Amino acid sequence: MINMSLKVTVNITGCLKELYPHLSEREVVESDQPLSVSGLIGELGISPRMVLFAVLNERIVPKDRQLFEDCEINLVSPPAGG
Amino acid sequence: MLYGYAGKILTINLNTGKASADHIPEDLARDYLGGRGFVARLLYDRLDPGTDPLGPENIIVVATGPLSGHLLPGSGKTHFGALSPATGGYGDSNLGGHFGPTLKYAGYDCMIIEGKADQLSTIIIDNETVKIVPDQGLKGKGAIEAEQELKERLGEDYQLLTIGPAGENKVAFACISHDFGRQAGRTGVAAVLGSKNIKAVAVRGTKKIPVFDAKRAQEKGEEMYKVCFGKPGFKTWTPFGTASITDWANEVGAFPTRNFQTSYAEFHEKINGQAIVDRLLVTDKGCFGCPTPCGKYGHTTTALGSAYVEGPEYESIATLGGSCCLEEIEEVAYANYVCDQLGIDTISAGVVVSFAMECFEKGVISAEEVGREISFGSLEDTVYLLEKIAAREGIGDVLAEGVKQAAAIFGDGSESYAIHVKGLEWSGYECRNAPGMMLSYMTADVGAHHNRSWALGYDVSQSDADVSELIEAGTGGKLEISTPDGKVDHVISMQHSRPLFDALGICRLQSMEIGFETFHYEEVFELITGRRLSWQEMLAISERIWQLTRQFNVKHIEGFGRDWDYPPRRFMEEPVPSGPNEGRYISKEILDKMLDEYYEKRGWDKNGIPKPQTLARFGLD
Amino acid sequence: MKLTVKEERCSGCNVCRVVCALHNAGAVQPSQALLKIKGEFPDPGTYKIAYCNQCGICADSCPEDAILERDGEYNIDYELCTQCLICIDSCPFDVMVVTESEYPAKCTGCGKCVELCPRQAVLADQG
Repeated sequence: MINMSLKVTVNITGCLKELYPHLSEREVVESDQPLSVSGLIGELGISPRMVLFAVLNERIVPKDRQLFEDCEINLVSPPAGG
Repeated sequence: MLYGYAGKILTINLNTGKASADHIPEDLARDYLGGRGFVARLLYDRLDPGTDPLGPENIIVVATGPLSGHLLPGSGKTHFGALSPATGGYGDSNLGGHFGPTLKYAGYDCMIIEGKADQLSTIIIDNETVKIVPDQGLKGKGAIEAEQELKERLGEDYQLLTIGPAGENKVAFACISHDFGRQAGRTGVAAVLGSKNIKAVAVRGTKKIPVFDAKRAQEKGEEMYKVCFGKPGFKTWTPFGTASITDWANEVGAFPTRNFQTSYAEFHEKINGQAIVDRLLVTDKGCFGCPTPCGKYGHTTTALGSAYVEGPEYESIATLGGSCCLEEIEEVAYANYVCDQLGIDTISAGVVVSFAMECFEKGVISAEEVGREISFGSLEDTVYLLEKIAAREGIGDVLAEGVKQAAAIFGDGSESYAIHVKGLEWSGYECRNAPGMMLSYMTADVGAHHNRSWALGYDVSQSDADVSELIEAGTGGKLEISTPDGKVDHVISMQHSRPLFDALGICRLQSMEIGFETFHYEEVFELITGRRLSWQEMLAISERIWQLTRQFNVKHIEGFGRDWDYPPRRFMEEPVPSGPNEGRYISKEILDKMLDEYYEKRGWDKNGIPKPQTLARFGLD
Repeated sequence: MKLTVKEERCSGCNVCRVVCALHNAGAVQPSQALLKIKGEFPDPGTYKIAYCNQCGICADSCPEDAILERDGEYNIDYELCTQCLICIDSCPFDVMVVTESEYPAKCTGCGKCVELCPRQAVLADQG
């Protein structure tokens, strides 16, 4: 059995930056466990309610989608009104 | 020399028919930057207590900012202000599009319109030449229709502001329209324009704006666009614009539904951003300099007719869709179109119409008074009421004053669900489990508007639940109580940062959604104006403006104070009946504690009046 | 650089015009830009982009032969130009302008508009 480790790049957008000032705009998360979008959001300490949607490879993906090695994901926050 | 600015204030006196241009006072630019800052200071200086908002002595100030019209993302904003007919206090509103940059190219950072024309007229500004042209032919024309006609008459180079019949008839929430779908919607500035007999303003400009370090400012501007192209928000924000928040607002129980009776609409997926893209979209429509256009220009077909319309954006979805319960995106878009032609703010319109619907449902007003039976969810009834309001016919004449005044006339307990603060109708976020957002609405200088501080995200993210529990529970379900702790500081901070963009003359969404950092603005501001200001120093200017607008309300609203800062009783006493925030409300006791802390931190007394030493600290004594 | 456009992508933001005027006329003043955007509103809600496709009609019209072709691009030789401005009226796309010093100006193919168009509505013509 191969011991897999996972490295994911996360782009934090919109008011998430304002709400979670400890996060930088581009975070790299490493995990030795399989990781879903939800799991990633948890790792970063972000309230899942503040993630409007996640974009992986330019496609909106459900929050239970498993992430893969070296992927880049955008966490999009709700836009703050018109 | 004031670099970055066009350099002049244009004053148009409608009594004499004369226009004059004066240099921008350097201390005005220094202490108030521009845009909202100019509007606030000039209104404060020029208007006496006791001024009638709809009398000739009221003035309209139109102001761009030092960054408007330059090469940087989102540089198309223009600010409008007057003593508000909706609140009797400080009124302002802004729009994007192309008007402000063009006004600057004509040589003016700012325009003041005073007095009253003796007949319905159009102001035409062509660089130094200013004409006030009687234009009776435009009387009663829709705002979009009037723009189309004037554009054909004057040519493509002209940028236009128009008002619809609602503005001509001085409806308290009439809006100024521009570029076939952009509006300065709030606080009834168009009613003031209507009271002055001005149907439209046209501007063309071919002058240069002086730049401190033109070469490096160009390089910096180009760099900012390229930074934007590389931001994740560049691709994810644009497709749906502000409408993308619709589902989320429902998920977190903040979607105004049935005149804010509840905060969740079962039908929200039929009126969300995806529905716009799938069923309406013709083209993305951008403001001047915007790399990420939120404007969704579409075409809608309903039983009442079909129309081209820009939008609906989120606020119109929330108030016309949610509050009036129009359950199909085509219907929301059509009601939006009707508002645009009549020249009515979609936010107030949706709240006023849904208020009337609830009053009817509760038997407060009768079919005889209304002229027919009306009910939530009916596009026909919505359009009927909008047309009555714009024409000030029958019940429309009462509703045209806004929900505060209408409730005072209807009585019978309707005050508790007249959803407003200070006389300005509430925009698209229900707050019975969002104390920070509630305080934002309560203390916004213009009344219940979301753009001074949008603390809803903070409320939602700071709930009691821990993140792993939320993940486990998945989305949906009931929300925990959001506590008021720490919210006051957050609201105050946002009340400085967001309106600062309005003083600079740029769109805040490039920072809030796309992710420009404050240093980008510090750098480009210095290269354009030659003035070095840190973001903190700019925030201090924004704070000065905030103190000034509060003092403006003290000066103009008789007996102004704490009582003006409360939400309607519904939000303090009626538990939300359904959805994720079922059972929630925020008691007056909690709100009073928040207000006490807010006033204290602002340097205001217990009644919310700025203390003399506070005014002195900001040079406002 | 020779230009081409995809009008359906245009959102009317005018960034192309602002940077064009800055780069070619040194002015924050889009009326000096060497391309134009026209919004067709309210109906049908589309944008038209007028741009120089290096057709050379201006060069044909010039009585002094001051507009010279090189590698498919036409440029004004200001040494030879006598400011008659005949070329301005000859442009079939109405995208030449008169500068502050009253000389004609035309698209130089600098590519700034292509570089900054957020929507890739103005593009380099790859032939």
